[in-house]
Amino acid sequence: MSKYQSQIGRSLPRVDAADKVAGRTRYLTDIYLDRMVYAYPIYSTISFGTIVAIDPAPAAAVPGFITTLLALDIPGENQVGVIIDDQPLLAAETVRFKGDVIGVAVAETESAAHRAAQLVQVQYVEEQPYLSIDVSKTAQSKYIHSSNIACTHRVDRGDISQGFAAADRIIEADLVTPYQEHYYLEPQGCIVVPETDGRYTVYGSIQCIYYVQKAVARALGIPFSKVTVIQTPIGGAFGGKEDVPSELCARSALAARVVGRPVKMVYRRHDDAQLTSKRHPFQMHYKIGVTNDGRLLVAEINLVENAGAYATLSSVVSYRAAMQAMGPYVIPNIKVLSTAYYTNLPPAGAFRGFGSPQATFGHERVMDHIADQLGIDPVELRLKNVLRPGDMTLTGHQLKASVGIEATIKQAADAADWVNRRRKNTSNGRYRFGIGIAASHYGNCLGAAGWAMDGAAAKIQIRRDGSVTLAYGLSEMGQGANTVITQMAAEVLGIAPERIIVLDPSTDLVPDSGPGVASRNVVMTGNAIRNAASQIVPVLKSAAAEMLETDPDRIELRNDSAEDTDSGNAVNFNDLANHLFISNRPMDSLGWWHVPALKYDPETGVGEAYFTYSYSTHIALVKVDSLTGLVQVEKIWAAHDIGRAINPAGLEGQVEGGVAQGIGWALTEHFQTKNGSVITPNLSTYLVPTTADVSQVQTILVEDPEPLGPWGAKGIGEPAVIPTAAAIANAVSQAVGAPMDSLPMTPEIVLNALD
Amino acid sequence: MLYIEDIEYFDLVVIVNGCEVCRRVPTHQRLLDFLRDDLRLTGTKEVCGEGECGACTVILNGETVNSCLILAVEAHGSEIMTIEGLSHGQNLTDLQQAFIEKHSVQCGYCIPGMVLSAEQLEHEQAQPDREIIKQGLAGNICRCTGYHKIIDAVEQKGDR
Amino acid sequence: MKYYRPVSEPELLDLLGTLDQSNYTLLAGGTDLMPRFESGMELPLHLVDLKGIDCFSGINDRGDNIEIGSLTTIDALRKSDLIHQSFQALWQATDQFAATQIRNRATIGGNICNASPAGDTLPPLYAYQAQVRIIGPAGERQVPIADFISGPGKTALNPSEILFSVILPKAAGFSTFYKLGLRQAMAVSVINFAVVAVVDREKKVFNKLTIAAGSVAPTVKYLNKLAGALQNNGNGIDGIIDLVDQDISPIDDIRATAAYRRKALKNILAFTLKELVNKR
Repeated sequence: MSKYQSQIGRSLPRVDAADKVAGRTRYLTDIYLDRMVYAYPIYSTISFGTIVAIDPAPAAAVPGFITTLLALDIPGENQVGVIIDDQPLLAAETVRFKGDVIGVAVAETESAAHRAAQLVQVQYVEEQPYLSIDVSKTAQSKYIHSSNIACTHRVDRGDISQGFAAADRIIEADLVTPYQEHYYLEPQGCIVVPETDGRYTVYGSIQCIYYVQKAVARALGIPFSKVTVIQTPIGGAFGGKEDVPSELCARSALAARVVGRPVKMVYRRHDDAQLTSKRHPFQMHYKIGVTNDGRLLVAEINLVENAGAYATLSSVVSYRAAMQAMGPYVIPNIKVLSTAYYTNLPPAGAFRGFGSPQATFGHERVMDHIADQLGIDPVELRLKNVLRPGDMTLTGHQLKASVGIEATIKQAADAADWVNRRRKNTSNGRYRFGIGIAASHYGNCLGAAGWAMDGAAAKIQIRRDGSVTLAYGLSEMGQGANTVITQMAAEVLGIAPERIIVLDPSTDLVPDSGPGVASRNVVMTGNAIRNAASQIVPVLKSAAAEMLETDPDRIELRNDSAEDTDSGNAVNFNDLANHLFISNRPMDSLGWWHVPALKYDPETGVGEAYFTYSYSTHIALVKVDSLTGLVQVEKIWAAHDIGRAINPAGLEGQVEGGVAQGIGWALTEHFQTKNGSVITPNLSTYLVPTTADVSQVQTILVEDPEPLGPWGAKGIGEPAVIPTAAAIANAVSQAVGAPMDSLPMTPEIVLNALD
Repeated sequence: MLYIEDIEYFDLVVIVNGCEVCRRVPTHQRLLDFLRDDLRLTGTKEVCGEGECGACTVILNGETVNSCLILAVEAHGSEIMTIEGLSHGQNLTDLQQAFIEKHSVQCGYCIPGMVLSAEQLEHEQAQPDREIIKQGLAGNICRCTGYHKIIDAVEQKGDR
Repeated sequence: MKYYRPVSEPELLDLLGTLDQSNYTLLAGGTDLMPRFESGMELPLHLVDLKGIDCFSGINDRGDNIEIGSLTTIDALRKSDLIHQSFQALWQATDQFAATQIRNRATIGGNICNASPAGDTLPPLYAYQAQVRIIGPAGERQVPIADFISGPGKTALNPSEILFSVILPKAAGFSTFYKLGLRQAMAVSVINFAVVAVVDREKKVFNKLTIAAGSVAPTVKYLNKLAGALQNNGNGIDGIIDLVDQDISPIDDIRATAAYRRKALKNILAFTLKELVNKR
């Protein structure tokens, strides 16, 4: 009998890697179906106004042209808003940004569909557009929607006037963060296949298959049961494929309905930049009252978000930013107002971190302002205020367990040799060096605002030959979901991971599991797997006991077999699976897990905003060229309390990738618009970091187990990116001797700060 | 993907992954589209369409090139290797194996191009150091990994 | 679109004679042309691929100078010992040029004819006082590169003429290239410049100095005011660096403002010149 090896905490190579390195993985773009046609959006070329005429006739001249579809061709509801119903599937009257989709052109080839869409003539009456938050705020009439405010959230806890009265010092700062483009490598795309019985099958690069099911059914006016949505392997998403695929799929479904043939729609890169959502730009004002020895007493925080033309996920981004606005610190008196304003710019929506990187930039820059003004070391200031078990978060959520933020700060500071590096002479010759820290907490899963949707399923099905399939409803978007859920299922069944195949998520396989977002896969699917195990494991044990003529209580599932712990006799999992079948026992189980009830008051924003939090600290070491202002990040020390690492190497990969995106957002990814047009739509103008731009990364794992997490685990996908930019800004601020309170820190801004 | 109304054709002969291929192609068809749409060698990916990302990297007459920047007709008489030709289905190269072992792969969309660039780099230079690997792979954008584990894999393979 | 790949110079010239100038496009490496097609530029009726003509490629030592065929790839220059040893600034420009896949296709002739203000091989070619050799139906002519490039995307090529090669005098002196991009690789230059200098190490003065800068005007510019002031001089560079302003006219664009370009150019150039005069 070989020694038992747990699958948890093991760096199992990714289950999808062999196909990916060989180029065998079939992404949506790689699928060609018989009789397939192509669709492409016809979109607004003005920022704000009213459509007065649409003339599709010129498109008909394109060889291979089939048809165009407009709003009046929608049999169901012309609405694709995901939370707020503010977004028509096809604009019929008002257009609200350059890129607002008006119709769909369908043709025999991809290039013909694209050309036909460009040739459709649309006449407008233009309105003065609102191209910034500041302009949007001033509107008195002619609002973008019924008002220019998309949503507000607040936190009102303690008494801020008393807090400010008691404070020794009051410190204020204004912080600004920009749009960020996901630049997932695989473009947005889908295929919709009309089937018999009025059914449709949708394939796509889709994070949230149940959102798409609803959007397609809604547009076509058919029941959900007639829409099957299958997630093809996703070539990167980062939140960008949360709600946007609903638009593509529903529009393609309109075409599939009319044409009666499979319809493929893939966005070209320039259009992907102009049409789809990005990270919300934030303007933040922080006013903090502290004691002279650096204790936080009170915070008054105003967060203003640029929602763009449609709300998409603004209300939950705005919620998350508010709930985390003062970070992982104890603060007894706090008032947060978080408001998203509509503008006539591309919509802002979900992007890895979902408001957290922006809020973290706010609270972590302001922590360094406080440290500067009080003459306290930034690490010491953070440790003085940091959340510990028993403390309350800024929303008044009393934390009981898995509060690893203090450990992440200490371990990152130790690894970075913080005390010595921070003291070093930073202005030596051409280059200046700086080191900066940022800490954050990230509420796992959807939180109180999305609690109703915060359940998820996993289905284990055992085949008669001992192979196993696993179905789930969230998403493998590159982060390694299929690998960690394979490990967790292998663990509960005591089998080798090689026996398990994870099926592409499909709405037909498991019940609605909510969106594949919010770093929720490990927690939700992991717990659902444990729940499924609680049903199927007793069945397996009873079957094994029958075969081994012993008591089920004595059976352990491990080492690819079922063992009688008393006698040491064992039955191989192949034989056990076959015995399930021939003894007429169930061969599958559907597991479910829902986040427990949260006590939260939406009026005051006080209570349990999320059921638990992942904690992160990044320390950045930067080198600034005093001649050019160019910043090179030399190293990031990234300490993360993730409860328990299911797959440490995969987790490191998440952190390293998150850091790279944080470096991009901080320094090189300068997203720009001019008169509502994206003028940085491609990789030569929107500078995603290359191999030469990334820093060294040292990942430090803090494992402070979460009692409700599977094997103690919490989410890592988003925490990986959240503190990076703030840490870099704090480091550059030290290097240049001036506060860097806005992103991106272009060489020009840095060079000017050096003067 | 380029568009033109009056299509002219060209009788193209190329060797793709060791096999001679003769096809009549539109003169405006990009090599990338020829490989993907006509030959269904879909391991070669399109991301940016303008030579900035390296996802469409193939090896043309022994050199890495962006197949989005080349017309199929330009490759007339040439030898092309795509990711499919590297491992011929099942037998992965040492470098591909290193990508698996080192957890270098996440979403995977950049990986075929990345693997070909890395193979070519190693072909030209035995045991490249990290700096040379970084420079050699600078034309291949990855949005998931931060590149570290990719560089690890190339470095490890070089050490063997 | 008709595709042609002539295999000899006479065949090419004959072909161009038969085509209407407005209807054909010459194709070298394609690394600049193809993105323009991709972003919507109309395809031409005739596409003439120059890569079939062998005599257009190669680096030849001609004694007092070297001749680089216009179809020579950036990678071939980067791998050339001759370029590496004798034309350091040009070698540096090729080494920092885009990335491998582009260097394998892009040609020096394409970089010249594309006439981008930010083209990385151009400041070194200007600094070396390169001549370009042009062939056409009326015969052959040579012009200095600065006269050949007349504006962004504009050259002195007449109808049916072809850039045959570029000729570099073997420079007496040390040369260096600098490129400022917003990313560490794969970046369009915000500024770039090349310096060719002969330095008297004893006296710490420039006996000879040529500076050419890119991305600071519609074409690459010689910084003659500064270079002239430093002739037989090497002191007080900081005090006269503002002379640079008289030769450049940068603009604001998506990558940087004119003010930043001026400031960064002066900072880096002053630093580079001081290092040159003091350390060599």
